Amino acid sequence: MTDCSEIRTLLSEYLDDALDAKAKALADEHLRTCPACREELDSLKTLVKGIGSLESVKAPADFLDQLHRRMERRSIISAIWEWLFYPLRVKIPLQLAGAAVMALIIFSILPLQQPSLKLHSKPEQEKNAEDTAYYADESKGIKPAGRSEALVRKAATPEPAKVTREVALNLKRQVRAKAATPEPSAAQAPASSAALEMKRPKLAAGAPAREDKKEEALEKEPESVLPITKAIEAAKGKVLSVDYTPQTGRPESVHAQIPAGELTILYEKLKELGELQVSPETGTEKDSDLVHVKIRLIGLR
Amino acid sequence: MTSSGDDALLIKAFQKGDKRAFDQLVIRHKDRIFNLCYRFLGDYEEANDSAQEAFVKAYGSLNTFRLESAFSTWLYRIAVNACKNKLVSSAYKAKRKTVSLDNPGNPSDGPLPMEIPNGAPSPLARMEEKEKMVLVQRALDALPTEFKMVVTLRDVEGFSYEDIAEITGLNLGTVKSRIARARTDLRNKLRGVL
Repeated sequence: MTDCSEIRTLLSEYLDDALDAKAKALADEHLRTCPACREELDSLKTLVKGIGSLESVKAPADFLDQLHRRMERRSIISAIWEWLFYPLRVKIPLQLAGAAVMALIIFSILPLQQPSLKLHSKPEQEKNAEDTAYYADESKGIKPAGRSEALVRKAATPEPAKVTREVALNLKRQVRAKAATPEPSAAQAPASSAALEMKRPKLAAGAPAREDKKEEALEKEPESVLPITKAIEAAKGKVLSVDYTPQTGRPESVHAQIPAGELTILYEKLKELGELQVSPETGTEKDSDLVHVKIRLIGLR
Repeated sequence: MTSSGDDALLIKAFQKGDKRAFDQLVIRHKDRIFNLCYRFLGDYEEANDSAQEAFVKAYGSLNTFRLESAFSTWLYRIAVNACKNKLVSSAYKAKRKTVSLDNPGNPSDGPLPMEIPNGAPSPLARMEEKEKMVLVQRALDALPTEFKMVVTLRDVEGFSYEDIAEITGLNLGTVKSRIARARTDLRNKLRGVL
């Protein structure tokens, strides 16, 4: 015997003839023997009939006219909406085109500005050389005087040298003696050379007794880089800076900028001043290219 | 009674550019759609608004309608959604006050439905029948939306379970169980009335 509650869950579908054959057979068998469930089924039938007999409510007679008016209103609203936003369809492409033009202008102007930017950016090799010198000076506790001015002047150089050559010059004794003698032509030395000579570093404060001795030594042997600067100028070059040994105040190295084609002349001139050691050249620069030459002075240390 | 073949011809005509064909579709279906909306919402004005909204939406989408499914099923689906949107709208909620048969509310709201209005001229039998219908409608109104929707589509509009599943987007099992549950609920509320 099937449980009544189980059958009653099937009555709705039974009524609609939506049960599968097995479930329907089960319900039929139960309903034959259960008056309570038959009554429940009849009650359900009455309910469904009652719901179905609800009087149909008709749409208003002017439903179609109302609909037309509503659709017309809707089309006006959508037209206004489109009208409000129509310019965007034009504006957005215009704005995009404007942005593209601006980008083109910026990218075409930027390369024109690059030469002036380059004035402030140094070639990597040169920068490394300067950094090395700077930190070497710093580690010695003395900041080379006049260095910043030299760097500023160098920054103003239109086309900085890209290749660095380092040579060692062991000044001859007589040259040193000659260099020690004040030369009348020193007065006609280029302003840059004179300026560089003026930038000879002062000794660090804190050792006044030693300072006096050094000053004395400098007076005895006032080594000058004037012959070297002359050699540089003879090779159509330009003195960039002079590094001094902080302890003695003597010139340590001279930095110059020379056209590559004039290097041979420079070396010849320098050989006249002393024993010159030149590292093998590997550069492929043109004659007109500027080369950064560091002349390390051995004899004056 | 409408036939799906006539609907298909009108739809094709509309899709070819004859906008007046839509008017014919409206005339053919407006009463059934309106009745569904009324049974669903229990308010004439709201039913009118929802039925019109359903036709406006149908007009906007009819060009993309494919004749693979019945137009009436498609239109009912739109109408059911329009009614559901109406049910959740705050304006409708504010306007509508649901009267429960179990809890008819404050006596100051008015006489109970079973009470005959004073001075009613109608014969008693007619009055009783009318009152029965009011009670049935109120019992329908009191059902939760998901049950009201399926039982209205089945017992008021006469759709098959499969059509109801398509219109509501529910699976067939859910449709069957909801109809059964709604009927049980209605029978309990209307016991002694029907």
